Amino acid sequence: MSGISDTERMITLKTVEGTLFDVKSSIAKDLKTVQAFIDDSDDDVTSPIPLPNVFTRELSRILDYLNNHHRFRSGIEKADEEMARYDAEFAKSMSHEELKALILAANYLNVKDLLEFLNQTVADVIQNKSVEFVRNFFGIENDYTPEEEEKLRNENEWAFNGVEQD
Amino acid sequence: MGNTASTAAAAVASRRESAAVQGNRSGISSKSRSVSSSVSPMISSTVNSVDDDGGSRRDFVEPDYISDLPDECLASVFQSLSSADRNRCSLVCRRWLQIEGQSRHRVSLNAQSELLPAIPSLFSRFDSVTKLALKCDRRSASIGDDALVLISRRCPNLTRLKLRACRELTDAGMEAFAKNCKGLKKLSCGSCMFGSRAMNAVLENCGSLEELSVKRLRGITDAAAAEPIGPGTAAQSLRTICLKELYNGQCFSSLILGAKNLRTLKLFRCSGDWDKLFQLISERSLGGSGAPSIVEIHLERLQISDVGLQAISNCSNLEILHLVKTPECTDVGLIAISERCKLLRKLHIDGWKANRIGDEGLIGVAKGCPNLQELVLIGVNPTKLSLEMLASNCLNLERLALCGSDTVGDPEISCIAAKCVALKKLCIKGCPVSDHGMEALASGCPNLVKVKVKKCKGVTSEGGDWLRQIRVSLAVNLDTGDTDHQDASASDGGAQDNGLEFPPMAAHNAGGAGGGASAGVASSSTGRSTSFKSRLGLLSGRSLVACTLRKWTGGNTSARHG
Repeated sequence: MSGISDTERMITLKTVEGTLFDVKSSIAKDLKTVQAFIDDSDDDVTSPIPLPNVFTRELSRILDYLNNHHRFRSGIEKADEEMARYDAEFAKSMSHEELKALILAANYLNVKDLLEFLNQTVADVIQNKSVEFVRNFFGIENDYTPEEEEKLRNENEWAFNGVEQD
Repeated sequence: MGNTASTAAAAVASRRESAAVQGNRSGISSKSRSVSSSVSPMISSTVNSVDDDGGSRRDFVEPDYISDLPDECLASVFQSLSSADRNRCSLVCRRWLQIEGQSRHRVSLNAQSELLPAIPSLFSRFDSVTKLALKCDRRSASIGDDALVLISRRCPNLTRLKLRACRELTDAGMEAFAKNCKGLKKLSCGSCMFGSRAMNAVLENCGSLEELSVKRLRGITDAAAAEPIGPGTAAQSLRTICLKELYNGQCFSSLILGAKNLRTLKLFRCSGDWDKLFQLISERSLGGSGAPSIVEIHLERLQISDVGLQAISNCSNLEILHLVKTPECTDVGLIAISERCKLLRKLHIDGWKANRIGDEGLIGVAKGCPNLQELVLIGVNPTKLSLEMLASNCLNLERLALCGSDTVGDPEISCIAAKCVALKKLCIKGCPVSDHGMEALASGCPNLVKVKVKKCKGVTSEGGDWLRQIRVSLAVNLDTGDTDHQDASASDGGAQDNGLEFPPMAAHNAGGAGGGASAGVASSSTGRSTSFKSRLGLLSGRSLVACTLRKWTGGNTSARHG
């Protein structure tokens, strides 16, 4: 369906808790999972699209991020700095739990740029940290036996730890 | 070092049945499916992991209990991590071991002989390696052919291989490797013992090879036994050839000649007379096959003379030329190149203070190469005559470095300031420039962004500060070149073993004011040459330089100070 510009069309999304979000279709395009659903539907999607895996808190953040990035990109030149500042604040504003939850939501909704950014943020958190720290951060239990772990550590010794240059 | 297959490896081997792997035992299943973007939002997060009771379970994943990330997210996280961090991640749990291993494409291994037993486990774990480095140290026995062949069978999709000091590898091993890894694009080997048969095997089997870099290949020292290294099936694909410290580099001649699409050729310290090769290259082009495709040539410490340069001048596509410590190359050769290589945009010359190249040659460059963007002169003594012409004719000259020139003083800097309108970056090292010269920069070179001054005794920190104040947008990087610092430094403005790399501003890290004692020290200098250089730094007497040059070039040249 064309004619009227897409940016005027609104899509409604419904979170787990039942909260409704009205989203411009230009923004909805970045939620690839949603977009695929829309594309697959023969008729116009008028009723709210339910997102059974996505919670209000996460969707709200995702839309916030996308709205801001759209704004930065369509604005004047200085946007790069502003965008970097926004991104830094955005990352800082979340606890580790919230960060992980957001990654799951962004992954489910397939929001590519945000996902890359969030994965990088996690990488920044865990780099140079101990194995224990990483386990705690993710709430993962060690499922190696002490012998296995020891053998794996030995095996790792074979791989150089330096920066690999070409 | 582990020398038996670990049980972690057994876990890895069974990873294909993902149902058997549990990410964690805290009671919440983690997603192990890969995301599909066409999933309708109507589908809830069904997790098909099999837990201890053997049944599959559907769990509603709530934010508070989320503990782990989907595979693809983890892989993306790992991508930004160093090898050390990735190793730590592999220790977190078995699932992470699996994901980390599968997503590691670049691996660098300690190639000692004891690596062999660990290979099956390592390469079950790292099953997507495309770039591999095998490095041994000089004191240890390296892996042998059997290890290399084993690895090659497990990495059939290898695109890059780097070998260092794997002295136990033979021609046979390399041949077997090449047959298994036919998609190889880049091979770099240093301090290995195999010979031309190995090289030919790679060139025959790896028809997509783009880059070949060979340093100190011991197996070709015997000129009689070495068979010529021919282009093989890689003739069309080879783009870059780099040869360093070879006793018999000539046996690569047929390769160089046969690589029809060769763009970059680098020859460092390879013995023999190289004039002939370039003559052959140019004869081929004159014979009607069109100008050679070569765009970049680096020649360092080679036996090459004006005859060779004249031949190189037939490479009309040449854009980048480095002539480092080639005292048989004189103004005559440089003029020949500048007359025919109109596309030249980057020129580096280390004249080794032999004064074979000077104003005449540079004036030739000024006349013939209007596209010049970058000029680095080390141990060359240009005067205003040539600098003026370069400035006026080379209107695209953006980066200029002058190092160890006795003739570059304040008048020369003023001239550059007045005339080099396009200049963005300027580096001056070990030249008789003073604060007056810096003053000239205050009002000249309108596009100047960075200026770096090192080891110029006449330039003080006050001079630098003054310049910074006048031109606020200019980055001024000084070491003040005070005598105290110079004594401590092992490097000087004269004959240096470190080639100056552009951009010099970025490469040197200790150039800050007052801290320049170790700036720019040659990383490859030996103890002996260090003392030579420090003497050179303090005394620039002819006899000392002359005697040093004779020593280094085996008596072929006598230094002249013009």
